[in-house]
Amino acid sequence: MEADVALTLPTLPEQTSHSSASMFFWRLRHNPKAMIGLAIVLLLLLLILLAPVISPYDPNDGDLKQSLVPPSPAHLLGTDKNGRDILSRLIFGARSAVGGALLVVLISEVIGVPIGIWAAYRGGWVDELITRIWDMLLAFPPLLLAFAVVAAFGPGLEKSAIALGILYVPFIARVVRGVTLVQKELTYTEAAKAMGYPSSRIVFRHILPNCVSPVIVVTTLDIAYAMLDLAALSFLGLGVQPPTADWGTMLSEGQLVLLTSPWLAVSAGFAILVAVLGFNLLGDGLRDVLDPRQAQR
Amino acid sequence: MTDRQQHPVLAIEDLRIWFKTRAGDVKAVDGVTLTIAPGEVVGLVGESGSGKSVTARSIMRLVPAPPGRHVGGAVRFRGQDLYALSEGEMQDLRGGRIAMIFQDPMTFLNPLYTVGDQVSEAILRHQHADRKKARQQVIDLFRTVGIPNAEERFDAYPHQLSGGLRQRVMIAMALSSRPDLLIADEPTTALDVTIQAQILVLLRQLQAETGMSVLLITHDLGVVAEMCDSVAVMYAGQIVEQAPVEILFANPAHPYTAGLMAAIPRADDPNAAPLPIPGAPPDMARPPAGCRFNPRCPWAQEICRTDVPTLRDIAPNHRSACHFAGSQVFDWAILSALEAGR
Repeated sequence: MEADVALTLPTLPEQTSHSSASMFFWRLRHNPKAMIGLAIVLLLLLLILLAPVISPYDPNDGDLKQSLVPPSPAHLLGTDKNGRDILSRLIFGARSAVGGALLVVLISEVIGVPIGIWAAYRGGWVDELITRIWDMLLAFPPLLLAFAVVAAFGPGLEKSAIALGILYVPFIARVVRGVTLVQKELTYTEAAKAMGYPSSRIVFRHILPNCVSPVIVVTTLDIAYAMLDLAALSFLGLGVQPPTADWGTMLSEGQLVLLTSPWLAVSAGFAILVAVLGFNLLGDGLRDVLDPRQAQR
Repeated sequence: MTDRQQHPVLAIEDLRIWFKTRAGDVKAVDGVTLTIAPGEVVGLVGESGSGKSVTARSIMRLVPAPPGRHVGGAVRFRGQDLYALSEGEMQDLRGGRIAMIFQDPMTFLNPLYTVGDQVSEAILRHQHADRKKARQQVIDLFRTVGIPNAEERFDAYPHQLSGGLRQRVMIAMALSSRPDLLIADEPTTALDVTIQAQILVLLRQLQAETGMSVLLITHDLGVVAEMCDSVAVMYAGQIVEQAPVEILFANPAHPYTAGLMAAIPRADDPNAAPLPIPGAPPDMARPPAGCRFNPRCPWAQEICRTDVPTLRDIAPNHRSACHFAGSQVFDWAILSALEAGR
């Protein structure tokens, strides 16, 4: 799989006179994975922005006489047991799915990036202590810990997103720590010290910018995981609360009527699948595009 | 002038820098004493792992601690003990009065910024200048160090320059604040031979123009002969011999120095094979008792295995840390060893 991808990568033009930004977009355009992922992600963002305009019905407006109607011209994806239009609920559900996932990742980065840099740059016992703590966090399945947090503070999208955000800190901090460790050993960090620059300047001007590419990649991949985890929490009734439209809760409702009215669970599951796939493809593609070994040539 | 000569730019006194490892303390620098006069170019030679680079970094207090540890001794710069300064005062000195250039021209520049940007950063750090002034200063510096098309190169990224040009950028950066002391850690090792010669000529020329002192770290005795006023030979964390260049080459007074010279391939006599020094440098966590060179020394005696020799004057300006240095028997032995290599 990896080998196939490598073969389809474009060869670089010889001259490096292009600006790095135009190079980036050139490489992005010629990376099919990244482009498909980007298309899906942009589509999702469009859905979120235009939800009230494009959804055919009010997502919370049920007509009990129309309960569990199979897909038809009036209801393209059918209705649920309260007679609400599934397509409309899917469109509105994208908000909590993507918004919640973004919140998770944002929280994890705001905490994780400084911690990762600090651990690696300080080294010694600080590094030892921090990595031990996040090893402990990593040893638990994130969902299990999220359950505990939600059990303590009560259900809801924000609360589960905050809980997951904290649990995702090690994922991002680990990557940032790795990059920092490499940068710290490079001669130019030592040269910067030998030029008399203070540590803060070395970190912000010389180490942090080198973390940007890997962080972007991890961000897109983590968004995909966060969407799955949030959907799982909602599925179990711990995340988004009914009647708000959410893919996880729709899946959970659909599961009850899976044998008689499969369209409910199938469409919610499919929405999750496509969205997660989109962010994953984008993340994978960006990793290829931003790979420093290729970008610096 | 006499006042300046009495006060060396740099005086390292019995410096000890140890590294903590699982195998015990590695005594990378173990009692180094070295002085550099104003305007003097001092070569520090020795094989890999002899402690040259650690010595250089310890002058700048750049040895990472932990695992490194300043166990004892002083580094006096213009009379001031650097190990008594605060980190902030030290940062003002680094890149200001003391500058350093490194071995690897591929990685000492940050790939994300243009070279002009990085040299300007150094100027803005240590001088009162605005961006525009700094830019002009960088372009002047680039011309001084022989970078062609200096104005265009200002906006070049490091990967767009050759190794030799990058080394010149590094030199420009180090010289931007007109340092009193330049520490050059194997500045030509990673370059090919023709570029090496160019960089050495440039360094020598810049030294003559600015009158700065230079500590040149190298394992190449040829570079020393070309560049330096005096030489310190380092072995296993200690200085074993120190002398002006001509004296050291004409009359080496330590078996290790003699061994180094016999190991140089000779271009003038193709029949003379270089003679390697047998054995390997000692494990610095457990250095041998007595003279550290004794397991590899062809003339080692009982006293060499028990007593630690001190670095002592054997002639004016000539110091050696061999028990037998200065005796006639010793001179004869060294001479015959060098002859064998010829």
